[in-house]
Amino acid sequence: MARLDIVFGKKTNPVAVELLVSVLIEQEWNGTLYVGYPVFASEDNSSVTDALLTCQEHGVVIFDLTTENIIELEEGAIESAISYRQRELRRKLNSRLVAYEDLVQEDGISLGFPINVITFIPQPIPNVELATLATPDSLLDRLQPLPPLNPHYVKPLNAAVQKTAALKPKKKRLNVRNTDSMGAAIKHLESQIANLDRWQKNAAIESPEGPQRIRGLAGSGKTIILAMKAAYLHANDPEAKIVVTFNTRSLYQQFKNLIRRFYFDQVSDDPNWDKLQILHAWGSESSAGVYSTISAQAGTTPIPFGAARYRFGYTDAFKGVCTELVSHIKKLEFKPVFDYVLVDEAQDFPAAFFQLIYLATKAPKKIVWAYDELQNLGDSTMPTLDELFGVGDDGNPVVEINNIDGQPKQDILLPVCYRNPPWLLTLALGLGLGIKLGNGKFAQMFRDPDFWREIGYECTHGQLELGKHVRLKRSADRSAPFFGDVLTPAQSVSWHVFGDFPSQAEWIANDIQKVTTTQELDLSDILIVIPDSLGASKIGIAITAQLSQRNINSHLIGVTGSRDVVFVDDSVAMCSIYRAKGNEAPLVYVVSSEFCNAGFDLSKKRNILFTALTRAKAWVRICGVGTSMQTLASEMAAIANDNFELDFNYPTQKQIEQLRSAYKERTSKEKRNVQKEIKSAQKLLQRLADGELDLGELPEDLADLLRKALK
Amino acid sequence: MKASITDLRNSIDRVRINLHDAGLLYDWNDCSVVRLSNRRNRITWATSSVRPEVSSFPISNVGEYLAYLEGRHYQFQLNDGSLIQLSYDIDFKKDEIKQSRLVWYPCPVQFSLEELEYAPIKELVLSTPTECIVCRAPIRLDFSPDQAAHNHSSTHIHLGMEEFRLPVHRAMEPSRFIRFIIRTIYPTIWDNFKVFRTAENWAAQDNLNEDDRICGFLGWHLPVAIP
Repeated sequence: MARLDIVFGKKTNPVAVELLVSVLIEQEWNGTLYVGYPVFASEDNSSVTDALLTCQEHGVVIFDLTTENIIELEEGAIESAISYRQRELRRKLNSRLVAYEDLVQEDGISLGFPINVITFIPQPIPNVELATLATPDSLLDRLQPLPPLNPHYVKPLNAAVQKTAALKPKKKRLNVRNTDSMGAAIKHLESQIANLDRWQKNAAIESPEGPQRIRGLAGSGKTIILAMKAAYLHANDPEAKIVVTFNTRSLYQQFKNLIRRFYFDQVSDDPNWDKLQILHAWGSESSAGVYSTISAQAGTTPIPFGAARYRFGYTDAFKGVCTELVSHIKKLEFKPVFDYVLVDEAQDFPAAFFQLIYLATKAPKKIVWAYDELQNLGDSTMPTLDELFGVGDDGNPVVEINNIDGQPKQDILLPVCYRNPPWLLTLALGLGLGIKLGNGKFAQMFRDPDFWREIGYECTHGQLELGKHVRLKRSADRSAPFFGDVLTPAQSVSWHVFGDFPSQAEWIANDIQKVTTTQELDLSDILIVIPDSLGASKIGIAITAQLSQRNINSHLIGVTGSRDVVFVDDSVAMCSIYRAKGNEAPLVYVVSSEFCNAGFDLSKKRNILFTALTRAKAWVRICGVGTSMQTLASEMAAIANDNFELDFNYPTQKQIEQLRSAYKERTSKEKRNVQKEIKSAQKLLQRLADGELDLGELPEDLADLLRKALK
Repeated sequence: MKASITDLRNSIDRVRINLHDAGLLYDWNDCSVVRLSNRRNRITWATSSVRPEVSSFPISNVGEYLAYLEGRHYQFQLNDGSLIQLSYDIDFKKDEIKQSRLVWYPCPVQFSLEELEYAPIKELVLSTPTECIVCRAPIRLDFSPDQAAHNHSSTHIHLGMEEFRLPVHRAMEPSRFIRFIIRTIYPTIWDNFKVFRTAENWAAQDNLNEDDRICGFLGWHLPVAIP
């Protein structure tokens, strides 16, 4: 039996909370104790529940911990004051729960279970004896007689308490009639994600007095949790200045919608967007960002991207402007402006940005950052806290995070990936790392074999050690269980090799026509990802032409459509890999994947492939042209043959280092040099082939090398 | 110059395919046909916004570029951000071109395509330091015999300003205009893609008047295909 799960939100009475938790923490009950949750809308402001227990063994119990004023009352008045408070708490929770069809009885009026309220006091009050009053000593006796909760209420009850209605699928999919269609499958998958898991619950509600790090793979719910957290913090503390920030511009709308829905669910009102701000990290000409806001606050003119790119180069532009602003602010008496800063896609930001946020956030630096450990396969180690936030004058990191029992957690791992079916994630990893490149070759590999366990893989054969043979399988408890209900790997993942580009474009257009006319999928369920970002508009235009011949609309995100809007009704979304980040779709087509199997920067290109594949919530069709695609396809076939487990010989330390230098991103100068070398080698070989030059005329060692290579 | 709506649509479509194959096309708008008075149809770019009057920008400036960009006033947007506008008025009874306006409008900033992943062109334009703004004159070839007047030839090229009118010899078909643009502005593409060498010949007349011949003009007695 599991231990009771305890989630720490806002503590109204920390001493009482500690006492309560110390009694309940050891109970082997199935359920959750929410501290400082849920939030209720009351007549003129919002209020929180001090603590709420929902467990199968004893049903629903509210704990009233706000008793200071009561104890001071005169004898006789105490009982009635306690009863009044209890009645109010019961009324508020009742009014929330009766709105849920699954929680009410046949009459449609009353709940299917009682709401119990216990007023919890540290010591007994003389001459006051109530069945609903408890001290640490009598608490368990008071709870014991409370009847168990009918199991079928558990799931809807938690959804109602957590107010996860906003997680409900946005699409109703009323057109789905055929139970075998792809539309029916995705409808089933979407319906399964209505509750938070225990880790998500902790991450969303727990709010430590200091920084907090949330780690998890793509699809583990980081964005939703940050949105929920923002709504919860805002409801609790309407005056606090809260900022939610991110890198991918298209996340703006997603955040705004989610936060509005979560907030409305809690307090039936719109957020005050002056206090709760959703800001792009940099900002643009038309909208403020975190950097531009802080810069204005520090009395300097923010440098826009268009200017920064001239000074720092476009890849380092953000790092450049943040570094400058940090050193400027350090010279000032700068007054921090934010109470909370919530950072999504933390892996995309330079350390200077975190240092900037640190300077701009009031003590105790309530900075929450959500980090995707696998966004960049080659560089799987997370930057340390001192790398991120810097060190103080004493040489110690300015930010530290610790998980202490009985306290809100500061370091949270979200272990379950809900977005991708497990086999799809495994295939993406296998390709991203290049484990089936053959001849002992890899595109990249995690330096620390243990990292595999961290991201949810277990060793089924061999040894998970450097230089040893190993077979890795996605752990069952690290994937959402519902994918297997409606999908098989063979349906979910397929690859297609074409002789030329036009036949690829034609096949994709035909397939889209097929799935949208016979499989009950909408056009907006489809995302076409183009790994070759430079060729993206050319490829996109060619596919658009094929689609429009079939009367199917499409848009290239950021080109023929707004760059902040991804999905449009009745139109297929296409995007280059950069815009694909952070987005997901039931069905993904990866176009001209051969781009990821040729030329320079193999590790970077394999990262791109990994990102492209992991956009898919159910199906991915990996398409490409020519022999490069053919070899990529054989890699995929090999992984599929291993039953979507990863079977390979782990490279040694030395081999991993070699991979890094061989495939590290080359500078353009290096690239030019290599290209020059290739050209001159080509000339030389051509001369040899044409008989203009004889091997004997070459220096001895070069001739030897050539003879060996030609064998 | 004789051409039907279908001729024009096909020609503009071929231009689109050629620009695409040359890797020069970034975005495009389809053609639309607008009914005018006097038995005329206008073949122009499809956009939902209202086309700015040319007189709103007597001298070309960055604002004009942005107005076209934002309003999607172009048939083609090229990879360097420049815009191409092709617009023809046709007498649909006679299949005769009565007026045309062909524009290459350069982008006032330079960038690599990767940079557009960080910020869209508009933002680059608005945030580029003034000293980095590039000054290139837009080229507009007008054919408007109805408006011909003293010192206003029926066929002329504007270079960056409304009052600058260089008389030219003849009006141009879409592919002939694109050939002119590619050869003069994109020489590498010209060298590498032969498709731009062929142009239609819709029998444009010599439109020069006596004044033009005396004071100077731009002439092109060009063959249909260039080796």
